[in-house]
Amino acid sequence: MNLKDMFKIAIGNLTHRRVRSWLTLIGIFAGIAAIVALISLGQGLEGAVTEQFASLGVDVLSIQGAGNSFGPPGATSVGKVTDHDISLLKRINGVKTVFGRQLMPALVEYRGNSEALFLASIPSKEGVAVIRDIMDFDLEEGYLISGTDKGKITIGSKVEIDGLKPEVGSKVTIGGKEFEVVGILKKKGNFMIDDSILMSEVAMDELFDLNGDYSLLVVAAEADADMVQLKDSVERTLRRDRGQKVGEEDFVVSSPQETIDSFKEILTIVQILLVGIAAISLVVGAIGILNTMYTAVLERRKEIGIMKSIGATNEQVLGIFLIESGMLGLLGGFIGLVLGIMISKGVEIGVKAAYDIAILKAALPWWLLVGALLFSFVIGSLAGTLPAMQASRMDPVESLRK
Amino acid sequence: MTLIKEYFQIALRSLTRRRLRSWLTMIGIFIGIAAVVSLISLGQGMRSAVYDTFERMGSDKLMITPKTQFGPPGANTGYVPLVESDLDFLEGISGVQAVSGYVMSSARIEFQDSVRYYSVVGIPTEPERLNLIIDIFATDIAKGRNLEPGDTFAAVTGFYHNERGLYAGKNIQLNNKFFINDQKFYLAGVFEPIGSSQDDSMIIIPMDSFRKVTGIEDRIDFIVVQGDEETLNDLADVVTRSLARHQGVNVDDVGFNVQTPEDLLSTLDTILNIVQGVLIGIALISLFVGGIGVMNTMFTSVMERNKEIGIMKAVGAKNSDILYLFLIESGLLGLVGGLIGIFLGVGFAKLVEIISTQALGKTFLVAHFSWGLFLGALAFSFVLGAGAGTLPAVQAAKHKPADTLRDE
Repeated sequence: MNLKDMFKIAIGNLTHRRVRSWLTLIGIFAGIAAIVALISLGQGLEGAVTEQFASLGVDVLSIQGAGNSFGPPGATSVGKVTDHDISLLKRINGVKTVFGRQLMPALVEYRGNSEALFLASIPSKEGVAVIRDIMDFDLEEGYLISGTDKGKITIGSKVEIDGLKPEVGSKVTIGGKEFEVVGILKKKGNFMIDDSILMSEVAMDELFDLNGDYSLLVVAAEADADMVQLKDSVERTLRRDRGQKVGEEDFVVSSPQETIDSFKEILTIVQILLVGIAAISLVVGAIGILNTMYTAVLERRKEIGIMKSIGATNEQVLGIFLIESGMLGLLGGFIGLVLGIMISKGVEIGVKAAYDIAILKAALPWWLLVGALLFSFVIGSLAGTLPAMQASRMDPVESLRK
Repeated sequence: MTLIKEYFQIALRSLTRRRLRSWLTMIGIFIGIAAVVSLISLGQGMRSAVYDTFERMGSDKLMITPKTQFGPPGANTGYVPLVESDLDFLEGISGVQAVSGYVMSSARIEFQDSVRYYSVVGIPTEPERLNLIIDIFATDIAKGRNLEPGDTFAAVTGFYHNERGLYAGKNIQLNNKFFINDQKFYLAGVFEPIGSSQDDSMIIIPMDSFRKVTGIEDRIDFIVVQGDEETLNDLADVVTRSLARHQGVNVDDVGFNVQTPEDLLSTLDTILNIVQGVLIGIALISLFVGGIGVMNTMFTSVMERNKEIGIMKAVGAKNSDILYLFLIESGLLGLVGGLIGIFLGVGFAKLVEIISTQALGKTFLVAHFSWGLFLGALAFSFVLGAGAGTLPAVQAAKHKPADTLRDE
């Protein structure tokens, strides 16, 4: 009896007890489908989060005053970041340029209605090119203001005042001054772009009288700079300038990479919890295989006896039953994989329909596909091991006599 | 009556005869039931923790917060800001029993040669306003005392500072000195933990001292208005309109939100419901798989007992008798599985409760068990078992005695 025969016998047995095989398969593929869908959506979500922050660029650092985590950078902080810091940081090796940004909430009036919205500054000098580069602004209509434009703003695609969308060419009033809307950005699915009003640094300075204080500084690094080292030198430079000890800084330097990492960590914990609960159903499914295989061994006692008495070895009997349970697992895994992909694609389409933008893409990395199949095969074989061993150890005389 | 007893006897015998298979089938049920029971009891526990907090704060209080979309306290949005004199104004509205509020900002804190930045909260020290705002914090003093009328440079710090924050690695004593923006304060008391590091890291000082050390004048970041529980929703309207008129702005353009505890609670409730729904939904998959296991076992059982069914029918058993027999058998599988599952689920929920208490240093999450949950789980597992057994039982009942006996 070779491997081919063993497969034939196993398949013959599975198709012979069609209902039972199907029911056992359902037990496996329900679990696998749930796990595949959860992992694939989790990965997709991770990708979406990364993309939201990637617009900040990974080769930039941002610096803001230390304080508590309420709202926008700089609002409640004690330490300040200023023009003085900019000139200081520009001298560091590996720094391409440094510029400040203002992020301020303000009441915006349009056609007699008003709403508090978020203003973001466009830097006035060499920062313009960098910010265009890292924020990757695309325009739906009109143009992007420069860092020196006065009386003009470019607005994000979701900016509305009491439900009214200002059109290009219309005027809004901010802080008692009139501004003309000269452009509307394309929707990016990124709150930092879609919900903001872009105003030049010069105009913002006039409006709020900021005197060289910024909400945050952006340090753009040279292409080949080591970001960890750069962050260290930035911290050291600022500490020395301010006469502060390690751990007592009144400023915080953060890199987008760190933000992405901490988000990923939270997502991973949530995903482990969900997949863990889904995995319970896989355990139940595996017990179903165990049960089915014990029953199969019991029913085929006579058959096993005959096979053994005409020369089948213990290993061959073991092989037949292991192949049978492994195939139950593998087939269940395959159907589960297909179902899981369908579920996650369905959610992707649902989210796209609901939010009108493709933020969540179901990720289907090769390791998920291969892993799911391998995992279900291993589960099937493992669940079949005990029954298969019982079958292989049967005494042919005993089993034939009964 | 004796007939039903006999049904049960036959079903029990057939289950115990196939002991291994029955056990494996029941494992499938009880794992799922255990997961659902523990998730529901923990979810209920979390819900009652939230409700307790609200109960402590009182259901007769309105909360007024500035409408700053991107939310830092005091950011200049162009709206008319809330100011301290608004407290006096609100006290004059009929139906308002008491008013209080707080202002917060980050400050530089120096303690025994180390400097950190934390938020500092200034609260009124007039007796009535002080009591009302302490109610809102909904936590007790663990050590020392709360702020009292007449305090100037006294501070009460959150629990967080004991281990990780300001006093990390240091031995703190009441009356220890520290500096807030270079002004010397002494430690009057320490709060019990509230449960979030944001809330637990607050440092509370008298409002006048707050204004002195931060230079923030007039601004208020949170106002609480105590009224009558019955008419709170009406009072919310009155307060919104009066305050808008007082500020001289249109009601539609006010720079503040007035919320009732009901509003807040329903938001939290919705979030809890969604989270619990998702988790239980995923856990239900395993119960579905367990149900499939019951169906599988019952189909096998019917097949194996073809002969027995044939004989029973030949000696006069009706179709319905056979149907009941198998339904009772599968229902019993579900019921016993459910019973074991409830025990396991209770154990698991208690375990989570103990671990979370250990990890957080205080009991926030108490697993909440109810007879309704237990009875519901039992009924559900019985229905699941019986439901999964229906198809096989119908198949068994339809057997023609002549056929089954001839096949053997």
